[in-house]
Amino acid sequence: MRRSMRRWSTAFLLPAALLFLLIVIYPVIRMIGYSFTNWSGAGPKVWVGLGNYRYMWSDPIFVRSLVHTFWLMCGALVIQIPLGFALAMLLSRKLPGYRFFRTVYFIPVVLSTVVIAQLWTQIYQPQFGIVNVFFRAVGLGGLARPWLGNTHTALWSIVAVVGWEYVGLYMVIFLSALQRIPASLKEAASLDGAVGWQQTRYLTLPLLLDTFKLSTILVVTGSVQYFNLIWLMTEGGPANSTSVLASYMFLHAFQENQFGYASAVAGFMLAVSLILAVGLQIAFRREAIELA
Amino acid sequence: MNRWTTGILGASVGLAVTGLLSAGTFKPSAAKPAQNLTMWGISGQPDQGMIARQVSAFEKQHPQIHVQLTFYSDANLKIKVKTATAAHDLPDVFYWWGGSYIQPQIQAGEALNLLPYMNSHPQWKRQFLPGTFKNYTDHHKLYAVGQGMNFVLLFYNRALLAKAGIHQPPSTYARVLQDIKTLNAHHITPFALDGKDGWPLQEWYTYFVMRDGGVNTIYNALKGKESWAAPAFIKAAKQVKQLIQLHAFESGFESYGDTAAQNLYNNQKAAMLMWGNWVVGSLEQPQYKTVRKNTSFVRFPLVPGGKGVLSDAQGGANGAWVVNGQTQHATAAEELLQFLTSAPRTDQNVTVAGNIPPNYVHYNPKLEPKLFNQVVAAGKTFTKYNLFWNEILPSAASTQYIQLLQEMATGQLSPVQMCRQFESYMKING
Repeated sequence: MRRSMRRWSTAFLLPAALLFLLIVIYPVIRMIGYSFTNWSGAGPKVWVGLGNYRYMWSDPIFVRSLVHTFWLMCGALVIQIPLGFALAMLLSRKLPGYRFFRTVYFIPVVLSTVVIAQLWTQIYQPQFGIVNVFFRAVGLGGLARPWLGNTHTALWSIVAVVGWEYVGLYMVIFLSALQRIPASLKEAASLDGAVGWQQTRYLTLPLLLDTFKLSTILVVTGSVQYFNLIWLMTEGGPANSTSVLASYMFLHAFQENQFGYASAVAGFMLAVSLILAVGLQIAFRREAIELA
Repeated sequence: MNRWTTGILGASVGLAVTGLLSAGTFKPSAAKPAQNLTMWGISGQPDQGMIARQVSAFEKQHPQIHVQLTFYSDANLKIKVKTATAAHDLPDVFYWWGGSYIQPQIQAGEALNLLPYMNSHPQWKRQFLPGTFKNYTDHHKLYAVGQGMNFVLLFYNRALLAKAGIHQPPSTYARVLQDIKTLNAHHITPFALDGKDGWPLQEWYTYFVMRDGGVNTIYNALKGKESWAAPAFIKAAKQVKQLIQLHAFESGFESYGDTAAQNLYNNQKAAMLMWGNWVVGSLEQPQYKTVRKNTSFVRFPLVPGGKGVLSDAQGGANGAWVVNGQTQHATAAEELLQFLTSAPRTDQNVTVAGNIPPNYVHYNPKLEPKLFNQVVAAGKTFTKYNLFWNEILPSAASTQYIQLLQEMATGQLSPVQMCRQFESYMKING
């Protein structure tokens, strides 16, 4: 019986596995192959061994892009997860209007990134953007600046938008996890005198550890690959001050016709993502808690 | 082909619009099996509408040929074509640029040599101006036909300048510097600049190099006859820096894209715009009636002690149509190109889109906007051209130069450091 089930399972999984091999694994293998060549995207590929990987570390813009990616990841972690959790906790109390706010907070997640980029480019607009208009209106005109045009503020301005864009997603993830905590556990905790922060600290947070793990992996791996909003808002500029690994790779592939080198950068990004994902899995490893 | 020597075109733009060649009559081809052509063009009005109508007219004349036409923005088209080149998935016909830009397609065999077809259709060939094939020619083979010629001018808004008490055009560099100060004192942005894309700032830098060292300076550096850190390059970089320090451009210009920058000028928020003559077509749109009325231009001014002359221009034969070298419908695609770049379509390129095509064309100047006729008249005075960087440098070097220039503009590099770093880069990669 069990063997028969296994056969059927394998048979049903096979089409999806083949598709996965074809559209994910095969391109990745090809990409790794390209990364050892000099290839302009047209014409012959010249074998350079590890040359592209070595060159990466001698390019200061690559190093800067790596540092910017790290800051983007830190910013996303600091904004998205705590804020997403806090909003979920608030909404889980089902205060008046919670359905409205749940929708409002989630809207950025379903908005097109192009729309978000346009919206925030206008908000940061130096002359009539709402941020600078606000500062001028409250007598803090000295703080008004070209947020996306200044090498010191551009990256953090984008980090704030990335945080805003995905807070709603993590709010929904946490909200759904919170709703899975049985009311009986909370009641028992209350009877034991654990209320308010104590209940959050000793009951909710431990029970949500798997959700934190999932969210952290999503934020971290997503940050390593993050591209679209940055490209739309600044194209990695000014003067590479918002360049991240993905925009650096894109620039080399599609503007400089260095597909071999760009593949090496993509290979590096893949390795970083895998290391971080596996590392986080290990760091968060613990016994599963059964809620039901 | 020595690609950078192609930049100095002897072509006189004047010929483009005053020549009186009798247009060859176009004969529809004989009945053939149905063919579907794919075509990628560049979006933006009024050109997009004109091309779409012309393609429809072609389909009516050639019922057996159907053209699936898609338009992409300038930036997206560049990415699409590069990706499709790598994937061997280019459309049958696509809009592209010459010089170093078309080299990957030539090397991959994805640009068709149009010369045999053109030689067998001499009435088509005769419609092009002398010298306008050079930018698309490699090893005596022709890989594209031009759609337009461009040169960069300094446009200004007379009304805004007058508001600041300026009644003379900024025809000398000293005047430009003075006008910047005066306009800033009147809270008017002197120049609109797309600093996000990098290449518009590069156009400023190029003009300074041309004016300081002469039109051959950049080509000499490309040939290795002169250093990229020669005095003309350093002086030009310092002049760009000087403009930035004087707040010549809008606050936060580094974050303004091309549309945002042009909107500043078109909506009369900036007094001047150094831009290609393609701006004329966009100014013809009804919503810009006021700014169009107030717009004049001068050629990029001379600089004190410089070797350049006013008849040197930045630009040349520019955007072009390419036929995919792997197409299954080569003749149909070539017929389409012939149709698009023959009279009366080339005349429409002037009368509808306000472009300057690389062809002999017929039009009545009295029916054309005053600004267009003035631009054409200025074009007649140009004798030598410095092509745009993305056509004279390989993509990687061009991007490198833009990045260094942006680093200089944002204060991360000094003008001298910028030039020396590019010199080092070209020594290794040039």
